[in-house]
Amino acid sequence: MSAVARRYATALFALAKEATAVAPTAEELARVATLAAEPAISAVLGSPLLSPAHRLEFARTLAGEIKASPLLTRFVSLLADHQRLAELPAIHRYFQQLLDEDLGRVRVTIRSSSALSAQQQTELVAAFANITGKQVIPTVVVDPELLGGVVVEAAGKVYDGSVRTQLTRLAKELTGTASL
Amino acid sequence: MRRRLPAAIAVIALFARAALASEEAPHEAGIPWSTLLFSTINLLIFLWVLARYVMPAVRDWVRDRRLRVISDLEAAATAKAEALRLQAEWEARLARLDQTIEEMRAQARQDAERERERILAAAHKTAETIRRDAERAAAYEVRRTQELLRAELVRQALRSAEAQAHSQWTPADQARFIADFLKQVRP
Repeated sequence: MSAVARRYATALFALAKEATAVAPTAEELARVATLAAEPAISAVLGSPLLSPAHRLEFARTLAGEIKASPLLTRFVSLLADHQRLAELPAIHRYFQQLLDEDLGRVRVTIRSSSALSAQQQTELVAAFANITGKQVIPTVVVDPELLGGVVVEAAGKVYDGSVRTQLTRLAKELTGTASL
Repeated sequence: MRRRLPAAIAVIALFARAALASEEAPHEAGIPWSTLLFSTINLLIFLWVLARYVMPAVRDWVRDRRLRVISDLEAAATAKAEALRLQAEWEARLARLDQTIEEMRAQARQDAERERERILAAAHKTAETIRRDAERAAAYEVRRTQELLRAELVRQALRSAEAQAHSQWTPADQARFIADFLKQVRP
């Protein structure tokens, strides 16, 4: 994530908080970022052939399409003016992080070799809520390459309990430094 | 000598004038005393001239010759003595030739033996170095092969384990793994 995206996201978050419209802004930003991530739209946004006037008009159209608030419309127009529309997805991700921190939430990605039962997911969420001290928003991904077990990514850390990693570690111990 | 020469010439001229005067007188029978006297004087002058001017040079030449002969004789004697000494020396050497040859042979044998021992020692040292290097190389190869073999065995075991995990992994195994995982991550 670029520093530019962080700066824009921080600024937007501050303005949204000041307007007590953090949640709606996050929702609108998510929608406009999803639109901007579309291949056809992102190709236009990143094109150097687009004139500044057309870029601004395109940004306003984008904001109008999702019926964005005046705050987000101005923000998207500013990005168009500064030729930073391509940063929208990254800005959205960092804005989401800021929102989660503000609300005392943490997003956790749980990769499992097979689908988790509701009880297993609940236990994992509870465990990581206890570890992070925050409300956990889980994203479960099924990854058969893990062979068995789970890998959890939470707050910038990776907790690896997969069979794949244990087998690889065991093989490294058996072979010393030999590569497998 | 130069001061005496004019006086001698004057005496000779006086006697010559007297002889001429007697020649001009009529011949008388008997002994010609004046002629005899003149001849005698001439002979004496001749002898005096010889003794005065020729004999010293002859004496010097003879003396020099004698000294040269003596010197040559001495040199010849010295050369002869040197030749005799060399002859004796070479005769002695010839007499010792067999012994010398034997000594040289013995020395040559000793030198050859020493050289042989030196070469053998160097060859032993080189052979030992080669043997050690070969042992090290062989040990390295053995270790490397063992490591490769171990790595291959582990790789195959890993593949086998992966295949088994793929085919035989059950929900109970997954539940057990998750339970273990939770035990590990819980503070």
